[in-house]
Amino acid sequence: MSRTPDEFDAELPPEMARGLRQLFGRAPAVPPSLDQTILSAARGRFAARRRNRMMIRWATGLATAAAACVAIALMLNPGRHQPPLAQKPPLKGDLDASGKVDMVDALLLARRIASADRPDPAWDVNGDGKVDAADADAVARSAVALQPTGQAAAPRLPSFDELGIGNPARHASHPRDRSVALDHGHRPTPEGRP
Amino acid sequence: MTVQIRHAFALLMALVATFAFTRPVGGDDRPIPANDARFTYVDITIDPAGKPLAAWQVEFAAEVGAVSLVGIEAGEHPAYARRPAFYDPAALAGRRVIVGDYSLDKTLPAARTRVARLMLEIRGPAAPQYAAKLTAAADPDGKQIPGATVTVVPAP
Repeated sequence: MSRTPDEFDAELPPEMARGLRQLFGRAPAVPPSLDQTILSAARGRFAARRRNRMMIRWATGLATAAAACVAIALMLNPGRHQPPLAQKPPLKGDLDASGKVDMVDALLLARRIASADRPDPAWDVNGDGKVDAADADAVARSAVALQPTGQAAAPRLPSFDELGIGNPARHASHPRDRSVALDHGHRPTPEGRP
Repeated sequence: MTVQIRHAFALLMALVATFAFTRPVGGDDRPIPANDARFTYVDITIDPAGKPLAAWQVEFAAEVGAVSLVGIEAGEHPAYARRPAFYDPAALAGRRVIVGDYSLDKTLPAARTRVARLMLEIRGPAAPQYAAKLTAAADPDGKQIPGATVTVVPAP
């Protein structure tokens, strides 16, 4: 419970109270213009601080939103940020240098093997010591391998240049009448490997 | 500064919650009763637009539903009926496979023909949806056949 100055004054001796009132009882006169000046300066200072705080808050929010947008874009489009195809190493087994190993490579090699009177031993791509339809089948298995390199289904296959027969795609006018029936009795094993 | 940190933390928590509770597209990891499985097949047919089909390759995927590949049968034309198409055994029990074959036969299909039949196991009540992409269709000279199309025909 606090007491008012008048209650204190009532407890003081009268002479002391009178003396104190003469010393401190008169409030200094402050002109209203000084009050206005101080007040406007304080308001200006607070307004500037509030502006700075709002700017920092907006900048933080915008930066966070931008980072979130970038993160979402990266998660939704992961493929776009992979290196372009030209920078990737060449696929193993891409015999005609088309950029992929597919069934056309197997067909072209099979045609070459079937039409050649003396198959080049270098065409023995599966390394079984024989040049036959199984070599083209090895290319076919590589073409359907789920791994991009085809290593799971077939060993690394040489290119046509390595086989010394050039690119059959550039020599697509070979007469078909030289083709002979290949032994289709070779079926993919249950494991899909030779 | 405390207010900014609090806002950034709240936004971060919202992002984490969004991605934590979002299922990946096409992924259905809910457990399926073992007795809720059935077997069916789909036919992969290719229309070579009148050109002899000497080589083909198709990428097949089951996009919706719990589907597993259990086997592959040969095509209907004699050129592709002697052996099943080539495929990667790693595709078995998966939902994506690359199938393909080539033929040196004199007589090749020039009209729409079934080149392979995929045997599938389907689990759960969801009706599966399939997608197929013809990645190679070539004539006997190895030239790509323009206008060739692939169609997935589900079992009746």
